[in-house]
Amino acid sequence: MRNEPAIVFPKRDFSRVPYAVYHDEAVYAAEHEKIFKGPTWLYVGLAAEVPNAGDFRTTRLGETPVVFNRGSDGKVHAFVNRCAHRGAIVRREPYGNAKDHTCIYHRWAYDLEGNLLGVPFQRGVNGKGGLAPDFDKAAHGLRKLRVEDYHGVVFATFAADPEPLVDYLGPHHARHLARLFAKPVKVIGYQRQVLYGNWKLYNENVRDQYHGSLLHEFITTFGISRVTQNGGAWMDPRHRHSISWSEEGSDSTAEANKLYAEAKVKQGVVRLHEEEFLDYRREYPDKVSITICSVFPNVTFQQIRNALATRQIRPKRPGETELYWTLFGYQDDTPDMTRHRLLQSNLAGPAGLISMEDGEAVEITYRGTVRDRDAHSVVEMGGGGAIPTDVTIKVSDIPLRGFWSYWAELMGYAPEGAVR
Amino acid sequence: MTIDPAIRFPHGDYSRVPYALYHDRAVYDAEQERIFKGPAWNFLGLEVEIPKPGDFRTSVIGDTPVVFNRGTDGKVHAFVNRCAHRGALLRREAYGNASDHTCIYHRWNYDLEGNLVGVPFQRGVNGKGGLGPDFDKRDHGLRKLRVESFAGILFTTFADETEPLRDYLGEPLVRFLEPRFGRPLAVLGYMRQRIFGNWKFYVENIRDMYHGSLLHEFQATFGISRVTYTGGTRMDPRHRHNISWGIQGTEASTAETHKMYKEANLETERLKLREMAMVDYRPEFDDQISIGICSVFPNACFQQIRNSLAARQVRPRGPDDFDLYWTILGYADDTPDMTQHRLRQSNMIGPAGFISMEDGEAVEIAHRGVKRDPAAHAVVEMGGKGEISDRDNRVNDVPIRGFWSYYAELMGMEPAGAVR
Repeated sequence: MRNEPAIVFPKRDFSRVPYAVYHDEAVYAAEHEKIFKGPTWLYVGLAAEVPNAGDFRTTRLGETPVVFNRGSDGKVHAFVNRCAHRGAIVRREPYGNAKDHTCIYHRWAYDLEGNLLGVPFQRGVNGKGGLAPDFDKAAHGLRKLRVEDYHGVVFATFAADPEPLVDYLGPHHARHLARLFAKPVKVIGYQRQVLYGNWKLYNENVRDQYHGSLLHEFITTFGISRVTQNGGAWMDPRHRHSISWSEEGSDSTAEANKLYAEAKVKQGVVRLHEEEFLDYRREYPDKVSITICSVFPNVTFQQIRNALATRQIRPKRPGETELYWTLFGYQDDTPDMTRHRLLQSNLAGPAGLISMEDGEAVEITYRGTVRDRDAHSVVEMGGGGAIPTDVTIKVSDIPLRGFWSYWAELMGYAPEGAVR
Repeated sequence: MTIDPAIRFPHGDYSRVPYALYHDRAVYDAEQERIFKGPAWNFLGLEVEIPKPGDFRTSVIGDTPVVFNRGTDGKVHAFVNRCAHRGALLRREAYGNASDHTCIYHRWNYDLEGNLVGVPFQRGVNGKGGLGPDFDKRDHGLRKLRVESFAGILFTTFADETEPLRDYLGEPLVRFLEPRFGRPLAVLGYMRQRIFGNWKFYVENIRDMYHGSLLHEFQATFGISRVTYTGGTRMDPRHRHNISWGIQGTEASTAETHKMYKEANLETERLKLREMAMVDYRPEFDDQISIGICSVFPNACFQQIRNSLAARQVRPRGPDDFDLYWTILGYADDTPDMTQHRLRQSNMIGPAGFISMEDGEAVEIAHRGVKRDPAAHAVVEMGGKGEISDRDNRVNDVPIRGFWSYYAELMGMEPAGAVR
C-alpha cells in the first residue's frame, strides 16, 4: 500500500481540478474505502430485475463484487459476493433464481438473507476433522449491506450509520426519481461497455451540460438538446448529485441555428433517412424531454425523450471503467411503444449516436492528462464561487464543482474554506 | 522494502489470513527476496530432462529467469539466466543442447559452468576501443546457484545458508518421493497455463484437502478422492510442506458416502463417463496410496493421481498472475500401453483437466473476491485451530496454516505467540 500523494485543489470553489485525481493508484485505492465504502448510497439495480423470491443478480460497487436478491420475506437483500470462508466469489452468474447461494470451492451455503446455513462436514467424518465445536455460523455470514428501495430503485450502502436515502437524494432527485419511476417498469435490455479512462471523468461528463450540444452534433441537429431551450440543472443541497434538463421545442430553430453557426457547430450536415424514431411521445405531466440525472457516486438515470436507462459506473482500475446500461420501459407499454423505446435507444450505449462520443471524450481526456498530474482542468463555465442548487442556464458545468466538493470532503482533500 | 505494518496475522495459529497478502505489491516484492531468494530449496526441474552434457533448460524461480544444464563434468549447474554485461536474457529457448551459452546482444559467451569465456573485440580493433586491460573475465560470470538433487528431482537455492536438501524435505516427503521419482523417469509431455490470481492462492489450494471432493465433483463421483477414504495430511517437521494422501476403496460403504455428499449439497451420481478405463487404477506403490498431492515450499507440487504422475511448478509473474508449469511423467520401463494409460489419465489435470480446471477457477474467483477488502481475512480452521500437526482425516486444511507459519517466519511477519 503506497501513500497517497498530496492532492491539492488550488481554488476553494473547485474551479481547478488536479489531473492526479484521475491517475494515481493510491488515490484510487483510497476511493474504495472513503467513497464506495464511505457514507454514500450506491445504485445496485432495479427491484423489477428481481421480482420473485430467489431472483438474484450480481453487480459491482466500486470493485467490490456484490449480489442482490429477493428474499423469502419479499424484501431485497444485498451482500458482498464473497464467501466468508476463503474469499471466493460465491455467485459467478450474472443472474438467476435460487433457494440459496453455494460457493463452489467448499460448498458453504448461505440463505437469501446472507446467513451461513451449511458447512459441509462441519462435524468431520467418522468423528474426525471438521470444525471445532465453538465455530459459530452466525459469525460467518456474508457481509450484509444496508439496502433501501426508492420507487423500485435499489440503493445500498456499506456505512453503518448512513443518512436516510431520501435525505441523501435531496428533494429534486427524490421528486425526479418518483417521476421517472411513477409506474411499474420492465427491463427491455442491457448494454455494457468498457471505457479506458477514470470513472470520475464519466461522472463529470454526465454533469456537464456545456458539452451536450457541442460534442454531440446529433443532439443539436435534431433539437434533442440546445442551449436555447428552457432548461438547466438541479442539485441536492450538498451539490453532489445533478439533474441536467431541457424542454424541447421551447426555442426558435432559426435562432438556434444562427447561434450554433457562430459557435462553428455544423447544423444540417447530419441527415436521417427515418426521423420518426426520434419522435418524443410525451409521457410525463411536465414538458421536460431530456433529463440526465446523476446520483453520486455510481449512477446516472437517463431520459432522452422516450429512451430510458440506468447507467451504472463500475470502476475496474484507475484507467478503466465499465459502464453498465439497463434499458427500461413501463409495464403498460404497448408493443409499439416498446419498439419505439428500443429504436430510440440507438442514441445511447457504446455505439450510440450520442453516447459513443462521451466514451471518446473520457478516453482522450485520460490519455491527455496522464503525465501532467500537477496541471489542472478549468471548470468555470457558468461562473465560479458559491455553488447554487438551481442553475437556470444551459451553458454551465457548475454541477462538476458540486461533484468535486463532495468528493474532496469524503477523501479529506477539501481546501481551507472550501465551498460546498 | 517495507511492508505496511497494518498487514499482519491477527492470530498466532494462522487461522486468519489477511487478504492484503494476495494483492499488495510491496509484499510481492519482499517475497522475491525473502522467500524465493531466501533459505528455501526451489524446484528447478528433473535430472531426466537434461541427461547429456550440454543439455539445458530454462526455468523461472520466483520471477527470476534461470537456466540449468548438465556440464562437461556430468553435474547439473544452474545460473541466473541473465548476461553479466547488460542484463539481457541469455537463453531464450525453452530447452536445447549446446557447448556454451552466447548472449545475442553483444555475443558474450559463457561455458556450461557459467564462467565468462569470450567477449567479442575485448582488445578493440586496430588497437582502439574494447575493454581496459584490467577487465577480469572471472569477475563477470553468470550468477551461480546451488543445486541439489533428490530422487531425480533438481532443486536450487540462492542462499548460502540453506540447509541440506534432504533435511529441508524431511522424512515424510522423502518416503513419499523416493518410490515415485527415485527410479528412471520418462517425460511424457508438458502443459502450461496462466492463472489470473496470486500464486499463494494456488499453494494454499494444493495443501487444502477439504476442497478436494467438494469443488471437484469428478473426484467424488468416480471415487478418485473421497472424505471417507483412509488418508490424511502429513507434513515435514517445520510444516512448510505437505502430502495430502488417500487410499481409494477404503470407505465402509459407497452408498453411505453418496448420501453424505448429497447432504453436503454435492451431486456424486450425475457425471457419467463413456470410457471408464480412463480412470482405472493400476496399483504400483507399496504404500497403497492412490492419490498423493505433495507440496514443497515454496514453488512445487509433485502429484500422483492414480497413475497420473506430474510435477507442477509455480511461476509468479506479479501479485495478480502466475504461470503453472506441468511436467507429465511416467517411467522409462513403462509398456506402450501403460504410457497410453498415463497420458489418457492426465486428462484429469492441467489447464482443462476434469479436476484441475476447477482449481484455476477457484484461485481466480478468490483473487477477484478479496481485492478491495485488504483488511478482511480468510478463515482457516478446518480440522482444528492451534497446534499445527498431521491429521489422519481428509476433512482438514491444517497444512495451509503450516505454509503460512513458514512464510511468516521468512517474511519477518510472525505474530505474537506464533506456532510453527
